[in-house]
Amino acid sequence: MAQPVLQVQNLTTRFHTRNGVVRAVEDVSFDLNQGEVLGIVGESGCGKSVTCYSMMGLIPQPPGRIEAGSAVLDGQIDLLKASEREMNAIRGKRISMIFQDPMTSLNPYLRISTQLIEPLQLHEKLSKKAAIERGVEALKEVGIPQAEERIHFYPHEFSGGMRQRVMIAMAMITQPDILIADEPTTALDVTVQAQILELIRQRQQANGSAVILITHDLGVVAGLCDRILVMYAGRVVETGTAHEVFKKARHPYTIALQRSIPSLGTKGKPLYTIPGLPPDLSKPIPGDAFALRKGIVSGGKWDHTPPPMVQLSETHWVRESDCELPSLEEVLREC
Amino acid sequence: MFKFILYRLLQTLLVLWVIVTVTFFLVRLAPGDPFSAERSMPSHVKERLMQHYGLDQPAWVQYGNYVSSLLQGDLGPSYTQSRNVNQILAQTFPVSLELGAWALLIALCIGLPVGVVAAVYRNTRLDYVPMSMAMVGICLPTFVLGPLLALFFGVWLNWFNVSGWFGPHDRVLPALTIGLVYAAVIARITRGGMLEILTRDFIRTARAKGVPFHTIIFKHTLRGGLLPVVSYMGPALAGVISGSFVVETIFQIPGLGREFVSSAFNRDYTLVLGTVIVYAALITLANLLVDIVQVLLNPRIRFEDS
Ligand SMILES: Nc1ncnc2c1ncn2[C@@H]1O[C@H](COP(=O)(O)OP(=O)(O)O)[C@@H](O)[C@H]1O
Ligand SMILES: [Mg+2]
Repeated sequence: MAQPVLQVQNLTTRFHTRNGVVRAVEDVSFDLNQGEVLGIVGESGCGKSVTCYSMMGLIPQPPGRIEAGSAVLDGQIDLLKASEREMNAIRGKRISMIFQDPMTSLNPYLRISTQLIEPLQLHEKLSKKAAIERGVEALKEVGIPQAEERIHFYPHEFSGGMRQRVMIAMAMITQPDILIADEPTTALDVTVQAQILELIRQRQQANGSAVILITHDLGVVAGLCDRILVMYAGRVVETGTAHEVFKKARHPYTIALQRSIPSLGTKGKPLYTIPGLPPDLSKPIPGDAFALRKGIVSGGKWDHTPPPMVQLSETHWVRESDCELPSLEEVLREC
Repeated sequence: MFKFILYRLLQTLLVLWVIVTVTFFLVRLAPGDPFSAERSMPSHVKERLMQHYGLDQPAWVQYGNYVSSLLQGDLGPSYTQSRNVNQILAQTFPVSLELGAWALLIALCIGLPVGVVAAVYRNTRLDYVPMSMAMVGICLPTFVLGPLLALFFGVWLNWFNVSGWFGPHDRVLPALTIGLVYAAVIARITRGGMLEILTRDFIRTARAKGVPFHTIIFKHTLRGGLLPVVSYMGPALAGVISGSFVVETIFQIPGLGREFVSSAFNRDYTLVLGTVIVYAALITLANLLVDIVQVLLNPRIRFEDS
């Protein structure tokens, strides 16, 4: 099999704050193959964003510190050890990123054109004129009408969905090998969400880029991802192909996430939500990280000896857990 | 934009009229009159003088006369000097304007870079040291700083004259006296403004695009970060003007500020009014300029208006 574009191994990122050490990401490993879509799923605060920011060198240091691990691009450069100059050559060219909130991710003081063509000027040394032409092209490709005029607008003249399209155009304009999309639809209207996801898939296929799609909603990644990584409390709990994670899920947390996807079939029935809250990562987790989640048990001491990962198939890994989740009917009857 | 400026200019005229009217009657409420100086004059001489200047007439008649000559550009005679008010203003205003310009230049040239550096290297020595000094600077009133500078650089080191306004080196101490305080304030405002922008999401976006550090500062941060400084320029100018009242007196500078102070003490009604008009016009025009620059810097205001 071809070498993965990105190999992340044992990534551990912590924030040393006044209120203690936040263990945001602990010992996370995964590979990203060329042209594939990898979904990273988990509830808010599980360390999904921090995982990706760590690879991009976007963790504010201090308070953040990357304690261990590596993130190797092309089997050559370790992104975690690269200099700021090396990273600037990679960011926006080899790896691009789009963010959750399109309303705040664009600079309100600069025209769209200025921001959109910046990667071209930086990485491909294009003249302004040539870059603007490519910029107009890029805007058309993401479905922005009257791109020739609107490229000179300011961000506030665009709606949220349109701004996210601009972000996608900006991220894809250099045809990067990897696109990281951090909850790209969370801040958008439901009607726009599907369009944006479809657009990401379409640009991904046109460019042959690999995509890391972060979301807290397993439903979002369902039709889109080749492989899925489920995270909880800063650690991976299950990873496998989309088929494995959806049809043969073993970890109770993964199953609970599946059950909380609002789908057409559950009409009339109460919506399932996972009881309790994820643990506070600013304190050590002395026992089971699922202690506060009724019905889910995994055992182990998560701050030192979390339950080990068990291999089920060539691609399917799951963290050991001590329980079978009761059937959904049973759970719903209880609440 | 054009309509906006025109509207603001009309507003300025209205403000000026109100200020002239209020000042006109306020100075006349003050006890005494232009001719009740230390050395008392015979009452018949004083009566003749009052009559000559029309000061014996009812206040509203005086007001009518003043406004009508004002509309023709005549600010009237000074009651205590041989020059008329137009001549006094023409001679002293350029001096104060130069002093104020130097002071503002110093304030900006020191304040902006210090503030930017402190924000970029926040929580390091490059932040703590200048910002503590700025804190001291803000607490020092002009009438303390002026004599201190004069004592140190003028008397002890003998680098500059302690008073007068002749050569270029005479500009240094007075301009520093006014400028340093505002440099300190501007440094703090700049730091705050820059920090506010540096923590925004769009800076992270720029970093994710591989934008180098200095481009992030100059292209992505400065515009928004300096907006608070721009809005501070209006109050800063007013502050520089009131600073000049003190500093021109300390350093014996033949400027408008000194005329204003002495005319107020001497109840030289027309000269008080003349200087007030100049200051009011200057401040309102400066505020208009500030608003225009703000609109140019911030596209969001630009579009809400039009
Ligand atoms: N700059 C920071 N300082 C301190 N803690 C942080 C910082 N950024 C993230 N964290 C913490 O790291 C944990 C993981 O956050 P994040 O990766 O953003 O979660 P999510 O899975 O929702 O993207 C959270 O507990 C969060 O509070
Ligand atoms: Mg997140």
